[in-house]
Amino acid sequence: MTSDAVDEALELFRGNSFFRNFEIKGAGDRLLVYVLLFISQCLGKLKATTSQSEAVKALYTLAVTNVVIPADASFPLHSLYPSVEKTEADQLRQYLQQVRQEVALRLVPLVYTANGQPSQTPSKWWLCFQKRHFMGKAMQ
Amino acid sequence: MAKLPPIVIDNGTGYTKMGFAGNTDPQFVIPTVIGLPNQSRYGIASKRGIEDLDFHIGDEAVGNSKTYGLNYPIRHGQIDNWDHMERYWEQSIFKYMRCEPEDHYILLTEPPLNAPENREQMAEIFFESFNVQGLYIAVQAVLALAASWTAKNSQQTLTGTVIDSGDGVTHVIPVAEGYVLGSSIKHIPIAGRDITAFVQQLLRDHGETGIPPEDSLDVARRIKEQYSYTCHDMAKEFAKFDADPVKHFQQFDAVNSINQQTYRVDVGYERFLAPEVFFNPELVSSDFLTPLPEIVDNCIQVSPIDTRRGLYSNIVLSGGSTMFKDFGKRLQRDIKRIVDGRVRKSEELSGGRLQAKPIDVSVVAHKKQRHAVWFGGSIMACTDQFYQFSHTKAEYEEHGPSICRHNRVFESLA
Repeated sequence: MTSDAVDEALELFRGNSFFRNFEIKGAGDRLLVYVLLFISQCLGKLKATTSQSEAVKALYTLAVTNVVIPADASFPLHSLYPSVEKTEADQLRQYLQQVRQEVALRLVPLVYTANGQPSQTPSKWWLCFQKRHFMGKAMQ
Repeated sequence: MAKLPPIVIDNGTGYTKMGFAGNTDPQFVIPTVIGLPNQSRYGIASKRGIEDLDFHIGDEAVGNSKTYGLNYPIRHGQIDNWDHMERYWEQSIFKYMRCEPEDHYILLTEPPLNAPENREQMAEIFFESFNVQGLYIAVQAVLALAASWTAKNSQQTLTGTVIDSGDGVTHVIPVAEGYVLGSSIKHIPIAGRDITAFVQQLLRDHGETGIPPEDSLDVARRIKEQYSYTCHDMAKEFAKFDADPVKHFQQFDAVNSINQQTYRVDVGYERFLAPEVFFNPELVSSDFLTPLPEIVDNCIQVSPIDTRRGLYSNIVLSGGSTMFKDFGKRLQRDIKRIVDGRVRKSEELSGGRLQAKPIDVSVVAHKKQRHAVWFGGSIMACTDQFYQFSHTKAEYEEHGPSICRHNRVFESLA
């Protein structure tokens, strides 16, 4: 199985959430930053008692509603991203919605494990990152 | 009568290590804290005229902290309150070491760049209040180098870079032929205490609600000491935990200090994140961001050019916060990477015409790291030269405290 940008972001999320400084070296890093912020937002939706099926629903809803693109003023780091034309913006929104759905889909099985086995409650080893925010920023 | 062994006292910011020379470990390791009676309690003791004996030091002071106010006589390695320090030494000698100071030589330690006036003050206290036979004041970093001679890969020189990390502060101190290169010393505001606080924060983050608040710091400290290890790559280490959770996530059994009930604490990512603080200070600090390997490299690069190879090839660890598993290996790898990168770049710039002799980077870890300074003092005070280097009571009476400004190890140079 090959690893794509979403897998990479999921892998780097825990390490990076400790850092407040991050140097954006290229376009790939811009996507990474977006996905990391979104993962953080997803985790924020979960509670210790949320069951797996509830989590799947909640995260799907989160992924498809109110898709923020980096050019929006509501995106916390929008000054670091180039602004886009109206038509491009719509297209980007679609792309990012797809990314978000994919993140939500892959995040749930990672979080719902205990000692390597699937579990009904979210792992505390993921929930402990709820309060840490990559670059000190969070998506609303 | 054969000479009684000298007493070695290493007063650090956090802990005082003391014992007789010739031993491999200090007899007492107690917090450098003095408990003086609170104002309200002065009443009874002052009637009997013994109020100046009414104080505790070390763990007893901590234990009696309800009725005795705690004072820390040493700040940032330097003695801050001489009156408290004198009383601290008084109990160290009479109550802990239980010896007659007039029968012994004493070895004290001082931080690098200590002012000569402080040394005079120490001499005054030890010769006049305690009437010791002789006194030697050694620089902590040099003793740490001497302690590393027991390591297998040691070159047994007095040239090297000492990384001294205790509870309060971390120093990187280059030493050439026993001389501390004062202008190149670097300080890092991150040490044991910050790491413990970070572990405590992480434990709180993953919801270890079983820990009673009054034990929280102690539990964090013990988890830091028992479970931590240095990883190769922080980002990849998380994946290792995912791959084999049973092996990596561990449990720590603790006892509630009040009701003696046992409880269990899960130990997770803090195992490798704690030592990682030295390599990524951003984890705990927002203003200090330079990793330790870079500091060490900078420190050596600002030292005289003819000492640099010696400083790179003998990097010595000292102090409790350097005890993490594989800490030396990681440090050596990271420094080596920086150095090799620079050599390669200069070779490229020369267009391949100049080939540099590779620089040997070696970090020396050894078994006596935790109390390296004390252990070095213990070795030093066992040698015959110790008595030659020490200042004796007779000399003090002849010349006064100013004799301690001068260190006789370097007599031929001075």
